[in-house]
Amino acid sequence: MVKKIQIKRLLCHFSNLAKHATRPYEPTPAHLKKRLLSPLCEDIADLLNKGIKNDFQEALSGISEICKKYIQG
Amino acid sequence: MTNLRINLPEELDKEFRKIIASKYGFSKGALSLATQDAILRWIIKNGKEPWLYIDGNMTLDMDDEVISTFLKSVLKTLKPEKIRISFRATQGEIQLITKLFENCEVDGDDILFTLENSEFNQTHNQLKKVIGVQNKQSLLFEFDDVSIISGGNGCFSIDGAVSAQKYNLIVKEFLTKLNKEIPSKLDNLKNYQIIFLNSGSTPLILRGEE
Repeated sequence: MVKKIQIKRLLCHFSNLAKHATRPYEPTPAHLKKRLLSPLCEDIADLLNKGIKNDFQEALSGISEICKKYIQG
Repeated sequence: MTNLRINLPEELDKEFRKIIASKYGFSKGALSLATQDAILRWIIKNGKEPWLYIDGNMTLDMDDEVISTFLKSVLKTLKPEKIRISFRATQGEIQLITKLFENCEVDGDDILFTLENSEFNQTHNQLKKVIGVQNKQSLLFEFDDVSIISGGNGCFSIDGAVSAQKYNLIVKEFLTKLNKEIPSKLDNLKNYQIIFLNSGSTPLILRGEE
C-alpha cells in the first residue's frame, strides 16, 4: 500500500502536465519531458510497484476528477 | 522598440493578416502585437527557457535563483500553520538527511518533513545546501490544504484550496520581492501570462481578462 502523499504527488504531477500542455506559450519538448512527463512516469511506476487495489482506484478517481474540465474541450 | 523588415511568401502574409483582422479587428498595432507573439513563441519553443514565466492557470516556471523568493511569497500570503515537505531520495541521501535532521520521517525511499511556519525557511535552505532539494522532480510542498508540486528546477504548479484572487496575491508578493513592476489590475485578472525572458527585462507579454 502506498502512502497518501505518493498518490497526491502523482495527481499534482498529472495536473501540472495538463496545465502546462494547455498554456498559450507551451514549454519546450525538453522541458515537457524532464519536468512534466518524467516525474509523472516515475510516480506511476512507484504506484505500480508498491500500490494495492485501493491505491489504483484512488489514483484513477483523482485523475478522472482533474480530467473533467478537459473533456468538454 | 525596433523595426523588423522581413520577406514573406504572399500567401503566408495574406493568411497572417486575415487571422489578425478576425482576432483583433483592424486596430493600430495589431500586426506588431501578433508578430511579437509569434516571435516569442518561436523563442520559447526553440529552447530559451524564460527567466520567469507566470501563468494565470497557477503554473510557474522560474530560474533556480528565485525559487526561495517564490516560496517565501507563498508563505507570507497563505500564512499556513502546518507545512509538509516530501520527496523521494537515494539511500545515500536518506543516510545523510537522517544524520542531520531529527524531524524527518523516512518511509522506503520517501522523506517527509512536517514543519511549523517558522521552521520552513531554515529547513528548506538546509535541504537545498545538503542535497540540492530544488532539483528533485518529486518535491511536494503542502501549505495546509494547498499543494505545490515541482517537476524540478523551478517548474511549479499550485493545486488545492487556493482561489484565483489568492493566487494573484502570491504573484503580486513575488513580483514585489523581485522588485518588478506589478501589472495593473492584477488582483482581478485571469488567463494571463507574465514572461520575463531575462532577469533584467520587463514583462514581455501580459494578456488577461478581468
